[in-house]
Amino acid sequence: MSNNLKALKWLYGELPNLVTKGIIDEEGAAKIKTHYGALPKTSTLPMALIITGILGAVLIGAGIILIFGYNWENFTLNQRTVLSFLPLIVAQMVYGYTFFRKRNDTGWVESSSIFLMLMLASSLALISQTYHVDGELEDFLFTWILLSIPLLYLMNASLPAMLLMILSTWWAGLVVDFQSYKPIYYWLFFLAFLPHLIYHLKDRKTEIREVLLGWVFVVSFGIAMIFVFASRNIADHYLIGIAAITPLVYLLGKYVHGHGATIWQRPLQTASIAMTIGVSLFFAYGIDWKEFRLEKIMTAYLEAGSLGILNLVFVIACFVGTISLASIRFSKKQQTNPFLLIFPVLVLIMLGAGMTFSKIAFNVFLLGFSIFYIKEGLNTQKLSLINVGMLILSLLIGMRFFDVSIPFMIKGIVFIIIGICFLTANVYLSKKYKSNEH
Amino acid sequence: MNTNIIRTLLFFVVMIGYLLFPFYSISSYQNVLTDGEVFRFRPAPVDPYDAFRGKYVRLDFPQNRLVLEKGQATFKRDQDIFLTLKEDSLGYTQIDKAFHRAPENTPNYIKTRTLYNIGSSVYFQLPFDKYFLNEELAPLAEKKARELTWNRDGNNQASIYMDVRVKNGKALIEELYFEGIPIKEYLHTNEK
Repeated sequence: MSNNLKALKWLYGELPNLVTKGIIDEEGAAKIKTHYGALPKTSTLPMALIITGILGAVLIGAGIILIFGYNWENFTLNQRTVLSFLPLIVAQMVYGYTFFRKRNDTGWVESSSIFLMLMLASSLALISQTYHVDGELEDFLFTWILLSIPLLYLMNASLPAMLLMILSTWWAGLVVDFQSYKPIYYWLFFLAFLPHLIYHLKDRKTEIREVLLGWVFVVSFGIAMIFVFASRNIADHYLIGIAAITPLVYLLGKYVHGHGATIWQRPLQTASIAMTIGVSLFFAYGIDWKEFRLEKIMTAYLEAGSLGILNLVFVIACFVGTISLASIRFSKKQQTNPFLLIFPVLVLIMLGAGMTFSKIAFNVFLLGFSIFYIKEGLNTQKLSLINVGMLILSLLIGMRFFDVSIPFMIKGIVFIIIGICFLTANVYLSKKYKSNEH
Repeated sequence: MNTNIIRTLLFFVVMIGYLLFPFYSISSYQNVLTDGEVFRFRPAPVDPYDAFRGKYVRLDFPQNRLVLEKGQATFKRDQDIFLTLKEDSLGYTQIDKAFHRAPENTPNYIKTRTLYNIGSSVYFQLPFDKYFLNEELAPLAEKKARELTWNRDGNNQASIYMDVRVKNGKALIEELYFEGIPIKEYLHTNEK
């Protein structure tokens, strides 16, 4: 997307040159312009204004929290109570001004929203300090998150959304406990920020917002999922969570980012591919996962009662979402990485079949995955794809070479067979290349 | 146009909600502080650091557990617990009984959560274990508290105690006393 834009800008810049040099005539230049259309109005957002505005708001907010948090002893209870409201009211006035006068100014919207969110926390903390109410940090965060949700939608500010995602993960981490299911409530926070996320990831007006939001989401969500599925027993739950969520995140990424220019510009795809490769390497290594049994997981869910069912509903929703998004893509014949979709199937089969199967299956899977990347890379002339494929392959080879559980004979024969395959491919490709040259 | 009106309406609802929420907590605290019964607790302070809220004196209570007699309700960890209170012979508050539901015959009970069980004892956190001071006074208070605890003769009247207002499950600190003097006043007259 942005690459095309760059190319177009370059082309339009060259056109007058080409005309003066007589390579094309005026008419030709005009035709080219009508063919490609006018340059989309790049939002010449004064980025410096936005960044300084946001940093100013955050720093002033933090400063106010520190000064008011000093706990000035000379004030009476009533004076302090009034003072607790002061930062909140000031922030509300700034927010109100932005709401009615500057709603289209990104800098104002983001700064005033994050400022109000911080001052909300400041007021809550000051009041509990004034009355010596000892709240747990997790309860404080819970209240703060719930109160902040409207800030994501009143003016569509993304900074509060990012902070909210981080706070939700922090909250889930604080309440994680092997005997309780509380982190599962994270799904409610997830539902609260999901519309904002999808709306802005699809809307590519400001690329920085899209990319930042995407990265904060995948990182915080990935960590939160550890807590959510670790509620009782990490071994039982986490795997089924990965199987349900990884392909969905990939397909969502395809849906919202499309084909982002670099891996940094498509965080959802990058994260889910990294997850798929990482987990597959783990199982290809062949650790004994007797714990992973479907019936065990089901009993764990039933034991968890309503929260377990809530989690199960989300897992099923993820699978349904994956299947429907995938079938839409296939029916439209859109390019999709099939290995991301094979992965959850393999995980689910593995949950029933056990270790020997999983070890062989994931080795074959990774081999296929790496070949897929190398092939794609060669077809599209993208070195980065070839590198990813080679990386997976070399990790796999290294792992198996030092694997003591396979007899040397078998290991040697398999290595030689795969080596011959690559050489054959090499010979075939070089012949094809030469015949193309002629 | 229509969406604009809804948006503006939502804006005002949210902003008023933001003011009402703290206002509601304050008025419920004020209600306990004015109407609640006073109970005198005897704590033993220590002082950790809470970066988010400035500094406070942490108060440990020997009343943070209850030996459950036979026939009384049993408790799991992280569960709601309702505690009724009684006075001992010295006039200090002790925990009387523990319940699963709010007792109906008295407003003088504390609602909190259980921490864990050891044998027939259930442990819980009392909801008034932090007294907030600023970062200069908190270490001073801790130092004084240590001195007072050392000098205290076991049978004499305790030199540190705390008055807590209790009403319908809520408990709020009214004042912390060192040698019978409110802590801030005490720290100012006994500086260094």
